[in-house]
Amino acid sequence: MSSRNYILQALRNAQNNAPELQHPGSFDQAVLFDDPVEQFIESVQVVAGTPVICADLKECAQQIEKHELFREANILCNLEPNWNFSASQKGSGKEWMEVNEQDDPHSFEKVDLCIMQGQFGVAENGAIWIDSRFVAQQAVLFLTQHLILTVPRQEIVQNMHQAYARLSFDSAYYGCFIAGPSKTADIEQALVIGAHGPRSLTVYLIG
Amino acid sequence: MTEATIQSNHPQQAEAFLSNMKRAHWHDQALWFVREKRDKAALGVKEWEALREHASRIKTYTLSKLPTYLEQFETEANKRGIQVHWAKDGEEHNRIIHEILSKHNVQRVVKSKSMLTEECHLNDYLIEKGMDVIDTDLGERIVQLANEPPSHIVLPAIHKNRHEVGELFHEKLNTPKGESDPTRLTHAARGHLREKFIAADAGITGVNFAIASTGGFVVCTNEGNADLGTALPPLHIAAMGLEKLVPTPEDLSVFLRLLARSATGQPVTSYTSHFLGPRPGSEMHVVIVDNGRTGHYAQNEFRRSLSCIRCGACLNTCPVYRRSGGYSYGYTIPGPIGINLAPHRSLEKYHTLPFASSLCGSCSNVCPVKINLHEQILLWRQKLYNAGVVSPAKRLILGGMGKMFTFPGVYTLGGNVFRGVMSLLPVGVIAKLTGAWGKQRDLPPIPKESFRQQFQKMKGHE
Ligand code: SF4
Repeated sequence: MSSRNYILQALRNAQNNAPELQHPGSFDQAVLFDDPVEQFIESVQVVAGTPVICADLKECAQQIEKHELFREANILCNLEPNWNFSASQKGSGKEWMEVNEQDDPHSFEKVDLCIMQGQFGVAENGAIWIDSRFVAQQAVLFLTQHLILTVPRQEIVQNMHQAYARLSFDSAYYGCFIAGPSKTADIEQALVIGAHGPRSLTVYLIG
Repeated sequence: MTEATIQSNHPQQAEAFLSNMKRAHWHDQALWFVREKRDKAALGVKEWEALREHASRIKTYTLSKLPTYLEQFETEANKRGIQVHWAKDGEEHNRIIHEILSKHNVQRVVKSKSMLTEECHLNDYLIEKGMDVIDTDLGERIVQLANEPPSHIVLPAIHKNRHEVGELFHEKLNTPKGESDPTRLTHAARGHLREKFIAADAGITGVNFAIASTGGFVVCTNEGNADLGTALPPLHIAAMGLEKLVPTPEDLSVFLRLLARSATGQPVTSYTSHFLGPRPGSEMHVVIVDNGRTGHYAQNEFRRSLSCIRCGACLNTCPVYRRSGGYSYGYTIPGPIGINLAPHRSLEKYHTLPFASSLCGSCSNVCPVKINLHEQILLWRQKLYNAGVVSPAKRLILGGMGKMFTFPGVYTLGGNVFRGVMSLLPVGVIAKLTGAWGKQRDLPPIPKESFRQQFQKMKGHE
């Protein structure tokens, strides 16, 4: 017998006509926040991210261009579909990589800053959803030294229950809730930012 | 050190751990600190208890239909281009993984944390076959460099202080002598491991949750090592215990709210990564592993411990774990959950473990999926007693107390006698009775009345 059938058979034998159990259904006792956006901003800080509030996309782009991380970055990636930084930054000596044109994920090894639009944010924990429909090579999000995510204000959900209600995994091969920068506390429980992935996460909340 | 070479004898190992009191105290405090963070996070979620109850019910339900959900997962995963393999035991798990790696001419493997691959001793197996296997979780890398197994399921290097890590890194990674700053040490490891990520031919991860209705699986990390390790090389293999299923993504939301809060007090891990299929040009494999789980599953009274989501909260809260250290258990998974899993592998070999508990019930109280851990420990004691596995010496020492903690009815009754006797006995004798971990601290003064008696009295006053 194959191991597959052996395992399934062993489990079936062990079920021995136990009474049918019911799935408890959706969780409907979540206490909601009065102001999910405010809670989101607080949660981003709890997970060691830096929230920035912007009136609109234009202001956001201006702020990013003034940001120290941006000014100091030599190699950048832009996955925010609404902007064309490279045009405004022509002649600045910065190198812009087109993420979705690279076949080899290793090519992102030297990226200093990556900017990406998150799909939505979660108030209870500061997590932001991204998936492979918008970034073909997820490696760039982890190889980059610093990460900036933008999230529209109206795209903040209360909690993980609402988050999964929005998700279908139909056309993605990878998706991730990103909450803060890469971190670890494996040496004596001391929190250290920048374990393997980004050394910082800045979240621009727009609108 | 592997499972096979460690003699599981908890009292003896605990005594060794406690021979350095200062260090034992430090270990105790470090874990209590994590436990307190968990409490704060749990209090921050008003519906916490309802959430635990819900999670427990989803798990119990899923287990009741496990074979059906496993088949559904396989079908859906296949549709996504994920190749699914089945392994009866650790041996087969290792062989399957090695075969896939060989087929791809893999030399260098990067791994993220997986207690299952620890359980199967995959690293040793692959290294013996000539492959280079690097654990990339910082804590796991530390213990790998020190040639030790993890001493905790979430915090693998919790037993090491910064100076020891500094020494180790100085020796292995060339950090400056005497460097013990956690930030600088972590960043040194970052540089070292980044080279390994870039050079890797394949990435191996564990599985936190596999989703039956959609296929695909979730891995939670703070460091992003599971993502880096799988986003670069063209091959990803995930090792999965057969109990890791949830029916739908909606169910996942319940567990993800509980996991990180219970583990470290974070509202969520930095990365909750959903692996839903191979990247274009790459391959993705899942190995579903039994290794004793079907036998465990068949024992109804113990089945609930298969609901474990490996948060580590029961370790952090356990007075015995905190004061005896992860290695004292001699099993891959220590603490209250380890006590409940190890005897399924060998009751004989792990017979001292069910006694490595004060039965205080704190583990059951913090468990996010409400496993009745301390009750199951009591059941194991009964089994041991009935099977006559308890060593003659242990029987002698335990005497009446063994029976008391073995049979719940006697427990209540015996409490009265116990309080009387314990307050008369010298500390050393109490330590003997309770196992070496009792030595570190004197027991709190024994109350003249039990909680139950006090409670009754208070009720009477109302
Ligand atoms: S038994 Fe419960 S508390 Fe212990 S590790 Fe598993 S889920 Fe966490």
